[in-house]
Amino acid sequence: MKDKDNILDIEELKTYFPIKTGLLRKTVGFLKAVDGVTFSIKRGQTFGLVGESGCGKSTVARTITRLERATAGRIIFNDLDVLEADKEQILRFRKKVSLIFQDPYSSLNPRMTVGNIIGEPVKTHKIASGINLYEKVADTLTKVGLSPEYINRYPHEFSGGQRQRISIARALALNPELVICDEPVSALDVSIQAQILNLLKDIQAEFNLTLLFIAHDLAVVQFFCDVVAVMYLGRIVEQAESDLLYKKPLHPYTEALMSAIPQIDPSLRKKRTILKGEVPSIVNPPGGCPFHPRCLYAKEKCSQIAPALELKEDGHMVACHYPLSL
Amino acid sequence: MFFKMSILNQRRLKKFKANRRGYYSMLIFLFILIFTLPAEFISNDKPLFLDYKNQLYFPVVIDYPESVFGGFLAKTNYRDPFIIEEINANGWMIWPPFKYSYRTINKTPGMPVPSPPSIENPLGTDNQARDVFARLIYGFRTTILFSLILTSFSSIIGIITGAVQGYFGGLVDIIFQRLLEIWNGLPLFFLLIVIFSIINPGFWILICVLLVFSWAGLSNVVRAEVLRIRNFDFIKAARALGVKKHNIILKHVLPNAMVAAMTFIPFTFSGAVTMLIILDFLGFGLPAGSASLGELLAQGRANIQAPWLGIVGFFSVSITLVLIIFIGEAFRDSFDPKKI
Repeated sequence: MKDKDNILDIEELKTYFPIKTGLLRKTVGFLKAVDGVTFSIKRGQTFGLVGESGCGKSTVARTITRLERATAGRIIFNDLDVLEADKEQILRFRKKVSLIFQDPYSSLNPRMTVGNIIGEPVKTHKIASGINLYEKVADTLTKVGLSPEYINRYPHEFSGGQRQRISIARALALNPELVICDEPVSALDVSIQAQILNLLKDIQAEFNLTLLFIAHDLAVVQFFCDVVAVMYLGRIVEQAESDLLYKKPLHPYTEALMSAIPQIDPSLRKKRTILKGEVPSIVNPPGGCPFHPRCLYAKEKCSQIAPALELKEDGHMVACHYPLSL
Repeated sequence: MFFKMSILNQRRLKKFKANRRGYYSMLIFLFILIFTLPAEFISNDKPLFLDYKNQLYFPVVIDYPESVFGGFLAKTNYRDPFIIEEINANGWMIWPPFKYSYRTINKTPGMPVPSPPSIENPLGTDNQARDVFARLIYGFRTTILFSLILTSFSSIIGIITGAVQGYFGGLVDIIFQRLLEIWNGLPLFFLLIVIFSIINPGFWILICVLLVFSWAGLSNVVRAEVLRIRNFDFIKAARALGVKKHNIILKHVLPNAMVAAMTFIPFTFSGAVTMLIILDFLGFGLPAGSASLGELLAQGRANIQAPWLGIVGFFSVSITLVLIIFIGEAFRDSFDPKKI
């Protein structure tokens, strides 16, 4: 049931990392970083993926771009089955999907000039060369709000925000259709965060981009995304349109996350939901619903049967036996 | 764009110059090197050029048969009094500053062997009446060139193998590491002595054999550095953008791993110098008769009654090594971001 509007369909994606010990490197278990994730992104949409650190958000991004090997599942980009694609198809796929990283310091090669950093993908895909390459790079730099004069400078001459702009320029150089942003602003100052987010919004409108936006900051996601999916221990526990999710969270975990957003206006402050316990070990996830040991509303059923992601109303999906406010 | 030094390199150059000991060692070393590189033109048993019957000859570059000057040998001996007289009668000669090559034998009658320093032989002669100063110049040049070639080749091999291990990791890395451990466990000197008592090494064979054993150290340094670098996001970014593997290694991984390699290379170089001197001293190095610092040391030991041999040998070897170590230290510190 392939929807024509969808640019990316993820079906039951699983990425397991084997845990090996001993002299013979015997596999004793699996770290289930992504454990059955399903979602679709519509063309032109901004899809947010949130969750606390270690819940597998970034692994999803890296698996989609084939930086990690998927254990099972399907990734359909346009009409291409990414996990089954041959070398040539992958090269074309890489041209259409690009990645922006969290840390603007480690994501730029300190020994390459800005011109070479942005020009490299262009050269790799043989889009332009010589004077055309220079123009393409200068043009891309202007689009992200940097002066083309910077073309011969090195990354260490720039501030964090400027570096992130360079990173975005590199991602845009190939005129991609889908840009995966892996926490693009969490390493930046709050004042710079707004600039970069606005830049991403402008660019998205200009080039009709689809964004997969990964973050752990719900306030950022609320401002930025059309649809938000909340991940916990490698699974999506709730997915809905941004406004709906913020107004009426159905999953207890989402509710707890929401209550952690700082509010400037004291009258808007609600009672904080404080979760008990720690995030369980991802190597040995609890049986039943993975969230039940920390859930304030857990009942007996929760520790025995894992809930599936079900459609409730208005495209609001939740994986919980006893959703809130229903 | 490529000739403009990056700010990072400018800062390194400044730091290198600020290290006075290393900087002046570098100047002295360069001076000696420039002086000894054209050894044939500094100290030789042939004139630089000569005019004989209104025709110019260049004996240093071209071998002339003696028949040209009225003799009968296949190669002209320009130190023969008869030839000197013949040429001076029909033209003129310009000699290099020192009239001895590294294998010229001083045939002055009645001279003891080895003979002490004199005006003719500023550092004396060795036990075969060869000029020590000339042998020093040629020997220094041989040692430095030998070590340079050995260091460059072993660095290239070390960097490539290190990069391959580090970048691919996993099984490749494990197998390589175990092999390297075995390789490094071999008793190097005994092996070299055994090998060189079977084959008689020339300059290039010596380099090849030493090369086989000298790349492993750098390989480990580069491997460790590459293991660190390959986890940086810019490598992932390059992969995600479809950049080819060899381009990732060449353009992203290696330039960043080179800093660690660069600080290691001067010490590989001094190691190569020491190795050649030791082998020559023990008589397993370059073929008999070639100019070498190690052989000079061996002669000094064998002829205690001629102290100039030992003194010259000792000072030339120790000054060479000290200069290289000082330069290497300054080089390393200038690449160290934590030192200001």
